[in-house]
Amino acid sequence: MSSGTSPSPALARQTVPALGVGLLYNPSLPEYLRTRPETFDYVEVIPEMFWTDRGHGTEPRFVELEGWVAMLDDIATRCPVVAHNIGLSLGSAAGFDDDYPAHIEEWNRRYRFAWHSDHLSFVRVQTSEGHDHNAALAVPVPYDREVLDLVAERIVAVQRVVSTPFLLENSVSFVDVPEQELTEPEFLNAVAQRTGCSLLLDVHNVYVNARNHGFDALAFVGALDLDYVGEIHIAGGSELGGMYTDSHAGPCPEPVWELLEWVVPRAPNLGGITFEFHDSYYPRLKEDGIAAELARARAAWNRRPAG
Amino acid sequence: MTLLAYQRALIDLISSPAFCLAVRADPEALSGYDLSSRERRRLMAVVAQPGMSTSCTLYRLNRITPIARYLPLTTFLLGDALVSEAERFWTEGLPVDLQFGPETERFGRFLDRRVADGELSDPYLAEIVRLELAVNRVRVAGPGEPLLETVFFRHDPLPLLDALADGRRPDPPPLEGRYALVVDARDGELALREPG
Repeated sequence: MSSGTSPSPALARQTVPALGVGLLYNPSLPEYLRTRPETFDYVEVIPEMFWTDRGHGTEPRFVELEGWVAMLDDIATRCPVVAHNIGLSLGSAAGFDDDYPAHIEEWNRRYRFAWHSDHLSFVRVQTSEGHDHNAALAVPVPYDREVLDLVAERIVAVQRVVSTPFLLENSVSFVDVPEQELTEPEFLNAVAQRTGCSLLLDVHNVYVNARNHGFDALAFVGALDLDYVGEIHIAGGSELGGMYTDSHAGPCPEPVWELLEWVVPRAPNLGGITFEFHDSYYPRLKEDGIAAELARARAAWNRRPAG
Repeated sequence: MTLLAYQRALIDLISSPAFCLAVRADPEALSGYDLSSRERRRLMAVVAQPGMSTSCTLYRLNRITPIARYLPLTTFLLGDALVSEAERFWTEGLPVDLQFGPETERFGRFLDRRVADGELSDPYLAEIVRLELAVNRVRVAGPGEPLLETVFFRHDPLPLLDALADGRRPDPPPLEGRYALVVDARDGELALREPG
């Protein structure tokens, strides 16, 4: 690791179970999950889709959506479930939500998540009046040592509360932030080594950034410590205003497959490859399209290193 | 403190193309934020990049999508006015949660007020807003909260809702009078029915 960050005692690396190939749940999938169980090994869910968060100080704060939760209960009886959170906001400069990990742990006890994850970004910022302002999208943090300290501290706090391994996902950024102290791979490696968390390597996110900012995606993944990669996300995207976005628009583009096929044999602790698509693109994929993406992901999964 | 100021400024830029233009034109537009010189240089750099426009667009898409999803008939009635009303609303308040439920509620109340103030003249808008807010409330009601609400109408709601469900305005206009519908989720399924 060449980040030059201040020394800090590294925690033991959390290991994730080897599950195989999975799908990120969306509302178009219940029929597919019932009829094509042979094509996937686990289902990943965004827990925030299953509840309404009424914010700090409300009682009850998290109100579950009954129909959705009934669906999740049913899925959890049939296959392993993995949680992919969007609400920890690990990069927020102020106002880390201490109640949030406790609620994730409550759900973990119910569904026995094989692991859970969130993003290297922030979605909330505290206003000068002390309110939370939702950014409405995941905003990348600058890769500075100060932010590394902040994110690592929060991940350790999450790990203390949530009793299943935590994975940190690399971000999409549509802008180049100058004068950063670390590269994103250096930052991710340092967080993983410091906290023992695994990485959720979204190879489509890497492709998005490489395409928009003109860098070599393979060099990016090659700079990561792949021993820490516990999960890989694959997805498709689309153009918006001259930029390529991570819109999860149907099938994965060929460069994403190439990245996946390069990484998997070099990631000895990989637990799963998850295909993500937005439900509005179901008509483009249909059942056979989803099955084809999962089959190709499984072929890559089968190339993971022995042992 | 400066990291927080940087994040506040960045979010303010992402949420306001007008602020982006102001900062591009005059860096002093950032003077209200307690930024380090490096953070100021960073923001000046990113605000000039095409990717900032993409971020601004995604911000607006992500905020308007839940409104369209949770207030579909209201969205239909607003038509082209949806974007301008949403932008006017966004200058008044900030979202506070990830699911945007409270924001949708606030947007509905904002429209109700705009109708009451005579700023929006659609004859059906206020009652459709109130109906959709009631539907959303009972759908996500917590323990001990009402699973049943009564919504009052100034137009016969049945032909009105039939027309809107078909994606058209009612023609001929529904009869005017005093009407009500009960929004009932007590059996786990959402039902609309006449009182009594």
